[in-house]
This record gives sequence, C-alpha cells and structure tokens, in this order.
Amino acid sequence: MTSTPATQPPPPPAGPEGARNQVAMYLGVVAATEEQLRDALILVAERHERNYEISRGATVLAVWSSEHVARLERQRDRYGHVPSEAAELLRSALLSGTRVGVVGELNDLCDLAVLAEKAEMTWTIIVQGARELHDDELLDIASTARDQTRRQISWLRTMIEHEAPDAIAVVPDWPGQLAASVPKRPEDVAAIPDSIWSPLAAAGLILIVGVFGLAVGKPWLLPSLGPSAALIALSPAHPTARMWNTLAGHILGIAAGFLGIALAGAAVAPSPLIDGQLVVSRVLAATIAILLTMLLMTMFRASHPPATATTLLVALGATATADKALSIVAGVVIVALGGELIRRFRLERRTPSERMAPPRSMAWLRLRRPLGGTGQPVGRRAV
Amino acid sequence: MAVTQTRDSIDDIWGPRTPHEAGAWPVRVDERTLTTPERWVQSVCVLCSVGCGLDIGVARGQIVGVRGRSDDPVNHGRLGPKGLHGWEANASGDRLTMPLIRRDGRLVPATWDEAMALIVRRSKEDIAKYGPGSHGFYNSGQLFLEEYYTLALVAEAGIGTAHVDGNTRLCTATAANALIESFGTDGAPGTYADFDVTDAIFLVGHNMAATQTVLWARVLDRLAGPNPPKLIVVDPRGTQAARRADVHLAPRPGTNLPLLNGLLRILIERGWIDSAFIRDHTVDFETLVSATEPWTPERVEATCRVPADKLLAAAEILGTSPTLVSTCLQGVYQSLQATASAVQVNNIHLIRGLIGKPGSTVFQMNGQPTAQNTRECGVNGEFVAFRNWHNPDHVAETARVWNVEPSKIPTWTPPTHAMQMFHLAETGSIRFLWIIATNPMVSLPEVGRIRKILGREGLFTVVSDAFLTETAELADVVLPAAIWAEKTGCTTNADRTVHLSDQAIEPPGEARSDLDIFLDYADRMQFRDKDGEPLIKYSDAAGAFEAWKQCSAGRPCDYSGMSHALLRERGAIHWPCTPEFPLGKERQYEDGVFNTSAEYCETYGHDLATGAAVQPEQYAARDPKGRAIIKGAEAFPPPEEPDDAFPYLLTTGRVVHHFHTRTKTGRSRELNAAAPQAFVEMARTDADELGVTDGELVEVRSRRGHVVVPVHLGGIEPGVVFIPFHYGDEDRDDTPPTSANRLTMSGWDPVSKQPHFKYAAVAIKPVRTGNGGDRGATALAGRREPLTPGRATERPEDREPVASGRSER
Repeated sequence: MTSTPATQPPPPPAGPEGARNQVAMYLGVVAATEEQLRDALILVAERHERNYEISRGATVLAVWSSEHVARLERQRDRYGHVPSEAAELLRSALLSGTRVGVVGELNDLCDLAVLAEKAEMTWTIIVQGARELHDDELLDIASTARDQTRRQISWLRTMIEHEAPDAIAVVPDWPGQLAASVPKRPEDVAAIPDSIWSPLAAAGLILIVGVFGLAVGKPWLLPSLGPSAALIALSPAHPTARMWNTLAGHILGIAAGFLGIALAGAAVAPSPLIDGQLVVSRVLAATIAILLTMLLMTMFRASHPPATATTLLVALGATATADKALSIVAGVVIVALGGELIRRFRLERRTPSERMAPPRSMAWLRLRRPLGGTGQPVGRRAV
Repeated sequence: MAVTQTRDSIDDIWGPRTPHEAGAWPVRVDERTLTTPERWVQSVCVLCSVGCGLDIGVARGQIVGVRGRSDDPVNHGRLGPKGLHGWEANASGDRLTMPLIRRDGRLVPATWDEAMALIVRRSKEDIAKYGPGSHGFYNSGQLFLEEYYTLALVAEAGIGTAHVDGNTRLCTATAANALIESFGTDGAPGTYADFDVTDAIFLVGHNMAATQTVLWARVLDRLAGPNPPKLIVVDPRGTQAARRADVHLAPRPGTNLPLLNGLLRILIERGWIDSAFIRDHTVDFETLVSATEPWTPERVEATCRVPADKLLAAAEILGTSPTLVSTCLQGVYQSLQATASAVQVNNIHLIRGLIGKPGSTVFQMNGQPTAQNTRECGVNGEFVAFRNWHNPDHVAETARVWNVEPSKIPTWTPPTHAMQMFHLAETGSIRFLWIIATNPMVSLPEVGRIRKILGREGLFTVVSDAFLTETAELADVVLPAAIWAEKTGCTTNADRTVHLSDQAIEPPGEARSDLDIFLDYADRMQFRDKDGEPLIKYSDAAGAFEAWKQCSAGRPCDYSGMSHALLRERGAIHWPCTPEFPLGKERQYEDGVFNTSAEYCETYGHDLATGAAVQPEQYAARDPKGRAIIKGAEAFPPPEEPDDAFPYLLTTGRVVHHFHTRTKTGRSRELNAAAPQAFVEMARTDADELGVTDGELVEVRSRRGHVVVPVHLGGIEPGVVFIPFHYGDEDRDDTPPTSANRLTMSGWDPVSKQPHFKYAAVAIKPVRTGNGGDRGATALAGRREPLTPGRATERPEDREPVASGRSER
C-alpha cells in the first residue's frame, strides 16, 4: 500500500484555484461515503457474526474503508473539505428492518453493495479529476482506494452469488433461522432486529418524558414528541434524527408558530384544536408558520419533520403561551438528549480494530498503527 | 505360524537407516504378521497421504498382517507404525454389522431394506417439499476413487445439489486452492523421488517426522548419506524434524504470511531470482514485489519473533540452492491466511524457476490417503476432473459425459464448503444430511455447536461408517460400511501415484461398501439421464473406474491409459496416464507451461485477502495462457489475540501414533497404549509461572469452551501451547472434557475455507482437587512408558514432540 509519509508538509493543491472547491466537494462525498460504508460493514459483521464468512470478511473490508478515510485527511488539508449528507441519507434507507437468516444476510450484502458502488463511483470521479489536475499524490490515493473498493464489491458479489440459491430456492425454517441469527454477544445492540428495537426505544423515550413530567408536576408530555421518538427509534442513522435537528427543529417550530400568529393577527382567534372551529386567520397563521419552519430548518441545517407538528400546535393556538411553549421545550430537550443516547447506543460501532481483536491486544495496537506503517491511527469512533 | 515383525515401529518409528548419495533409495521391507499368511493381497496403506504400497496377509478369512511392497516407488518396502498396526481395527469387536434406525429416540437394529427405504422416502419427500438444496453430503478422505465418483454423480447429476463437501476441507482444501491459484489446476507438480536428489528441503508447518513417517525416513536416509541436503524447518514447536534442521524458524502461531513475505523480500532484494523464468513463464511478479516490500527482516522479527539472522540464513539457502523441494502441511493450512501463505511457498519456486525438474518441486501435501481422489472427483468443493464451474464449455463437456442436461448440474454457485453446510443445517436450509466415513463431532471446530446442529429437530441425518462414532450416535439412520481391505478401489496419493487396493477379506456382518450403498440409493431414487436410462450405468468398482476414465480424459488428472488390470500388474502409476504417457508421467510442468489458460484452468482464481472470485471476463482479459500466476498477498491481523483473560496461543495437531479421530488407530492395542490420552504441551517457563508440574491436570479454556488435560512439558515456544485433537469426549458429566475442538474457533481461510485449528487464545489454570498431592500424577503413565523406553534420564523437553495434521475416519 502506497502512501506518502505524513511527516512531509503537503504540497499545495494542484490546478486552478477555482477548481479546488469541486475537488473539496467530492472529497467530502467520498469521505462521508467511506465512513458510512465502514460503519455499515461493522454493523453487518456484528449482525451476522454466526456466519464467520460474512463477519470476518466484512471486518477486513471495514479496515480498508477506515484506511481510506485516514488517508483522505491530508488531502482535506490541501483542498479543503465540503461536508456532505448524501451518504448519510443513502445509508438511512439501507440496512433497516429485521435481517434474519440467509435472506437477511443476502439483503444486508445487497445494501452494502449500494454504499460500495457509491464509493467506487466517487473515487472514479476523483481519479479522473486528479489526472486532469496532474495531482500525482491525489491520484495515487484515489486509485489505490478505488482498486480496493472494487475488491470490496467483488467480495460482495461473490457472497451474494453463493448465498442467493439458498435464500431463494429453499423453504425457510424460521425457528432455525432465528436461532442462527441470535447474536453471540448480547451486548451487541446493533444485532437486535428493528422489529424489537424500535417499539421499545420509542416507548422508552415517551416514558422518560412522562416520568420527568410527573416528578416535577408539569405537563411535559405533548403530541409532537411522538413523531420525534418514532423517527429516532426507526431511523437512528437518518440525519434528521440527530440531536441538533431534534432540538433546533422544535425550537424553530415554536418560534415560527408565534411568528405566524403575529403575522396573521391570529392571537385572539379561536383555536380549532380547543374550540373546534376553523377561522381564516388560523389558516393563514398555520400556513405562514409552516413556510417559516421549513425555511428556518434549511437555514440552520436542522431539518426535523416532526418539528412541524410543534409549529402547528403553536400556530393553531393549542400551546400558544410562553408557559406551554416552555413545556414543549422541556419535553423536546428530554427526547433529544435521551434520543441521542439511544441513537448512539444503537449506532455505536466498535472500530474494525476493536472488532478484530480484543482491545489493547497486539493486533489491536497494530491496527491502530496500520500494517503499512503510515503512523496514522486507523480507527476513529463512528457517530 | 510364527509372528514376523521386522522392526518395532512403536518404539523405533522410522526404522534403521539405509543411507544413500543422491540417487536410488535402497529397499527395506517392513513386515508385521501375527501368523503366516495363506495369501498376500495387493493394496496400499490408507493411514496418511504418503500412500505406501503394501500387501495384506490373509489367513482363514482374516487379516493377519501387512508387509511393504519392495517395488513400490513410494515406499520401497517401508511401512510406518500406523500402517503396521492400523489394520487391526478391521477385526475390532465393535464394528457396525447391521443398519440402525432411530426409534423413540434410540438406535435399534434394522434390515438394509428398512433403512434404505426410510432414507429414500425422506429424501424424496424433502426434494419434493424443499427442493434439491435441502440435501447435503459430507464425505471423507477415506473412500476410494470409484466411490467418490459415484457420489459426485448421485449428488450433482442425480439430486442436483451443490451442498457436497468432504472432511478433506479440514486438511487439504488449502493444498488444492494453493495449487490452483498458482498453476491453474490442482495436482502436485513433482514426485516423491525428488527428495532423493534435491540439494535443499524446506518444510513449512509440516511435522513430517510425525505425520508422514515413511517420507521422513526417506529424508533421514538422505541426511545420513554423503552430500546431505540442507534442511529448513518452519514450526513453532521443536519437533524431531526441527531438531535435524540446518535452520529452524519458530514463528509465532498465525504469522506464516509475514514470515514468508520476509523470505521472499530477501530473495528479490538480493537478486536470488531467475529473471528469465519469471519473464517467460509467469505473470504478475510485480504484485509480489509490492506485497513483500514492507516486510523487512526487522519487521518480520517484531511480528513473527524470528531473529533476523536466522531469516537471512534460511533465505540464503532458499536463494542459492541449485535445487529445492518444499512442502506445506497443516501448520500452514490450518493457520491464518492459509491459502495466501501456501501460495507464497509456490512463489519461491516460481521466482527461482525451480519447478518441473528433478529435485525441484513444491508439495502442497495432503492429510488423508485419498484426499486427492475426492478433489479429482469433485466432491470436495471442486468440479469433477479439475473442470471449471464457471466455464460453460466445461459444464457442457461434463453434461455430455454424464448424459444429462447442463442445467441439471448446479454450477451457478460454487460448491458449498463444509463449515457453510453446517451453518445451513443450523439455519434449517439443509434438512437431509448424509455424513459418510467421517466424524465431525470430534474433528470440526467448536464441537459444542456441531452437537446442537446434529441434534436439531427437522434435520434428518444419515451416517455411513464402520464404527458407532460420536457422530453416528446422533444419527437417524446408521449404515454399516465396509472399509479398506473389505472392498476394491483405487487411491491416489499426494504425488499423484495411483494404487489399487484389492478386496482381501469379507466385510463383517451385513456391512457394505460405500459404492454399493450409493448404487443402491441411486437405484431406489430412480435417477435417470436425459434419455430416461439409469443415470449410473455400472454396478461395480471396475465399471466405475472405466466411467471415471472417460470423465477424466483430456484433463490434467487423465486416467484414460489406466485400468484395474494395469494397476494390478504395475503396482503404482502416476497420472496423467494417457496413450502419450502409457505408464504415467512423473512430473508436471517440465516445459514450464502451466494449466492457466482461460479455456483450460480449473478456476479463474480468487482475491487471496477476501476470497472474492475473479470474474471470467476479468480473467480472460489478462489470460495468462500457460504462465504461472504469481500472487502477492498482504497480511492481516488475526481474528483474536492473546490478552489478559486468554494469555496463551493454542495450536492443535496430531501425535505420531494416531490418525485423525482415532477411529482406527484407537482400536490398535499397541498404538493406543503408546498414546492413550490427550495432554497439553507447554514450555517449562510457562509451567513454572503457572506453578504446575509435568503430568499435573490443568484446565485450558478459550472463549468457546474448556478441556481438562494433563501437562506435558515439551520443546515449544513460551506463550504457545499444543493439544492433540484426536481425543473426542462423550460430553458426559462424570468425565472431564478432552476434545481440543471445544476450544477452536469457527473461523476459516477466505479462499480455501479451511478452519483455523491452529490458532486460538486460551487461558490455563491448575485443577486442584481436595488433597492436592497426587493431582493427576498418574495421568501420563500410559503415554510415558512406551514413548521413552530406556531413556528415563532424558529431560521432558527432549522427548519426541508429536504433532501436526488432521482429519479422520
């Protein structure tokens, strides 16, 4: 594996200055994609650890993705780095649901292939760009990474070819498939199927808010917390489920709700939620409030769809007092904090080095200093 | 009537020396008969992969002994302790003589008709309900060629399942894969006679002295003569072979690949390479240069704990010797990155151009006597006659020979390997599992899991075996099988020598040969070819051999010039045996042309790091067209490492007196007395640290299970311990567990899928019972006495270490 010694100062970026931003953009995309791929590989390795072939294979491939991320750092210093959510969004559509038995293994492998293809294509873009820019250092890194990504895809293809006949043509024996899918180590939360995890996680979040509310004697439990809890439980990997999005989203929703009321002059209008009567000013207030919420969420990079429920609660006059708005904030803070804990618990991946060997063992230390001897630590905690 | 025993092979394992100077190996006939035989029947020893020609002495319908065949090119008359004693198992009182059927949870005797009818009914039901993929066949390295070929027809053309594998997966899968990756097809390039003339021998993870005693005698005779070859041994244990070595490299378990990369790096750096050969006869040399580049002697020393000066000394011999014979066995195959490591040994020969000439070859050894046959016949994860699953022409050719539609043969997926087969049985995909002549309850890793799988509701298990093994006890139907000497068939050893083993005696009771069992099953299942004729058109071993000849014609393992009659007359013949080479060809690749062309090769190869298959179009785009493929390989950290909780590294292997799960050797009184029980070998410093003494019972525990065995102080590296895997246990509460495979992990090589038996992190603690005084002091009594007679004064470290290799019947 080739890589430039980290001790030398990085050469200046190649090409015209105006081109740097494009390179930075694709560096951002590829870094995010490789990080997601690494985490997804570790997730799959943990889920299917009774199938050694998948477990070990995915771990080895995760090491490669880790190394790619580490090698990018120097290039980010040169070209800058535009963060990208594309990979996170892609990842959140993948690897969800109950992945049990041979069918579950096959589905997970297919999902990994989507991320790996995204990485391979992005590396190809960077390889081509580096050629055009005559940037040998970037070309070396990108083409090495692209070759390894192709090997990752080859492995996925081989595994899929091998498992598909059994997944498709054989009548499943569910008790057997379930038994063979139970994680060997129960502490691997990532291995718990979604169908068990998400109901418990969502209900748990609501229970926490309720318990705190009871303890302080305040009505902190409100309807808009439901969608947030559901989102965090169902799609913990989705960017909209992050703590920042949850917290900022709801607070922006409250602000937009009050602004909508003010702009529409609906402060004293009857509330459809309380009085069962809809008037024009409330329709206006709600419309303006939603418009503002969406704008503000985009501005603050705090997209969180459940927050629009808060917007409407305020704009429609159900919680349009400072006191009640504070109750929402209290509930949201608890859901956002608790949700972040749950999300981390669920998404927390041990680094490939920790997966491959007990912590602090020789292999682990060696992985921290990869075999190529670049001196770069490989593993960095995900999330 | 006299007992004839030319030597005591239990005590003197290799026998007296017959030194010679790089030429013809002298004859020495070993014989052990208990009474004078009435007649001698031509056969071959089936207790390791050397395949020594022997005659079976028969008197009054019983085997009374054996003697080596003086004209046999493999052994020149010699036999080892297992061969001289193992035949006693045929006459054991506990042979299975009747089929058994499980009724109300117990195995009860039944007739053949009942047993076969039950098997066929269940088989047809499962195929109708769940498809052909519900069937799995797990066979052995112990059957004869004719039986493997019939099994291939039954499973692949009859049922149409890809779930066919052998326990050879545990011992020789890496050998096959390493040969295929480098040379295009399976099959050893050279011959054992290369040992007689070579200038240097390189044993990698191969305790030849213990596992292949006759071959070691051949080496000893060279070492004792004038102009002895240089000997390099790679083994973490101070084995007999290691003690005779000019250079002994003792790497940390699991670090073969860094070590070999280090050696290759020196050869390249010093220019000890044959550039013309590399240019004309190989491709992809640059992958080797870049993969070995990071492995400086200093780095190798840090990773493998092999001193740099020793590494240099070994590299100098490897780099400058005019001829070289290398061998690999389980120390490579059952350790980490097995295929990648074995391929690096091939690479040494390729970059030096030392292949296909007298005295220069590489042996990717086999563990079992007929492992080569299971590979040739395609029931060990390969396609029949070294054809290529991915090549439509090869599939069509096979379909033509078998007279079936090409689509009948399940070639869309590679054959399922053994470990995956058991995983599929665990998930319930496989519901009909036929286990033939093998004992996975002792030999597979993580046996606790295997027991659960075999006990699963919904899995129908058939076991054909000669004895009621640990596995047979869990079966739904047990079929009594005839074994060696009770049936006729061919075996092919690790240097491609084919022998015929004639039937000498009748099988006990109602036992039948596996060939007859398969033929009966095929007949009852009414397997048909595409013209509606019976799929299998022969009814005996000679007929099966003729059918196989047709199938193998035109492939590297070409038997078309052979016949049972010719084998009887000539004794031993190498394949390929064709009209061009009517008496067989001793060496392959003499012209430097390998079997790698896209239309001829056996697979398109794999990514050695991940096991990903190279796609046909990728291979065709860079068709090597007869050049050998040099594949460099990067090293990865192991799946587990010693830590505070499990501070020792465990390696497992064989002892000299036993074979596999002791099904046969455990039934020879003398062999059993020589090595009656399991033990854990450890360095004196480790024992002192733990405060235990020789013979004391200790508990050895891994993340998967534990065993309780006595300590045996031996010449092994500190931090590393060794337990022989032969000793299965009954899983009862009143006896301590002894099966080494309770500790091993369910992990395997990504290419060959061979399990990592020689790598696990373990913890050790003394077992102190009430009056700590005599804790297990008698435990080693049995093994000590016969192994060290008249050598009472020696230190335990000097004892013959015993190990390496595996598999079974």
